[in-house]
Amino acid sequence: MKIRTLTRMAILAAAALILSYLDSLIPLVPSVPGIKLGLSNLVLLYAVFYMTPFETVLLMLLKVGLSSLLFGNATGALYAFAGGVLSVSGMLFLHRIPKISPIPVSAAGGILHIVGQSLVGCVLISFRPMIAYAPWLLISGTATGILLGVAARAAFYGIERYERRKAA
Amino acid sequence: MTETTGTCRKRNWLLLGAAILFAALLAVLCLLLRPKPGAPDRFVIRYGSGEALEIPARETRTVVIRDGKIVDEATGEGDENVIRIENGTAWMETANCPHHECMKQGVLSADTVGSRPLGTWIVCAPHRVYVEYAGDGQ
Repeated sequence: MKIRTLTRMAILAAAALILSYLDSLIPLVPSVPGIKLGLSNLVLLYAVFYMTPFETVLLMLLKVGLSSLLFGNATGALYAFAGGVLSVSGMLFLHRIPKISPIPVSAAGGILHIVGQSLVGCVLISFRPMIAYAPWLLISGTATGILLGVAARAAFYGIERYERRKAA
Repeated sequence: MTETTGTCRKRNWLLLGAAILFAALLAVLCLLLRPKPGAPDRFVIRYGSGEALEIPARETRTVVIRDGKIVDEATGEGDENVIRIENGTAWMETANCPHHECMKQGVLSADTVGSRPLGTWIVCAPHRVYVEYAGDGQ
């Protein structure tokens, strides 16, 4: 791996960790556990669009591992891993569609993240409470996914404009 | 670098619509499959690797679960949850899980079941402990 890529990965992993921490400070719906803004997924969305699939998966694993180590526990890591694998796979797949915007990619990522977490919940806890839980998580996952997609679109537009100016 | 500017507007709307529709269908399916309590008369606490403790709703009792086992006293060590059952209501009194989200889920009782997002459940996902307000006919 090139030094430039390694440095970029380290910076993105650090950014994902800071955003994960910020996420834990903003409870959206306190009565429904697990509903978060998912700010750190912005970093993964960036990786999906501007890095290779291998680097994106590696970044997701770094984010899950380090944030669980610092702010969570082993069970939390399992939820995050399942959600991360499904969401990153879905986003990488959708990203292959030509001329796709970050908004539908991010929305699909948010939904698949919830599907992955709910499946782990069915195995670790039980099917019945997860059924009560899942609709709230799906609504929040879709909404935050769209919101992050809109933010990412604005950020990517700025990045691309800068790159074009630099190249000119 | 992938260019995200100049994207196909119609394709993006279609994909976004498909994603929202998928989520909505899943949510409706979950709501349809959601168990409806018959006449709740007991709290069922599930913990550890599938063990369950049934307590009549009218009983008054504090249950301490540490590392998947019921213990006598709360010490705050290990993975600990303290569940209070009192006069037809149950709530998570204390828990040392990362974000204490189970403690924020409020009181579970016959009056609150309809208005709680999680219905008949209090869930502590990190410690794999949950309380169900159960009755016959579920």
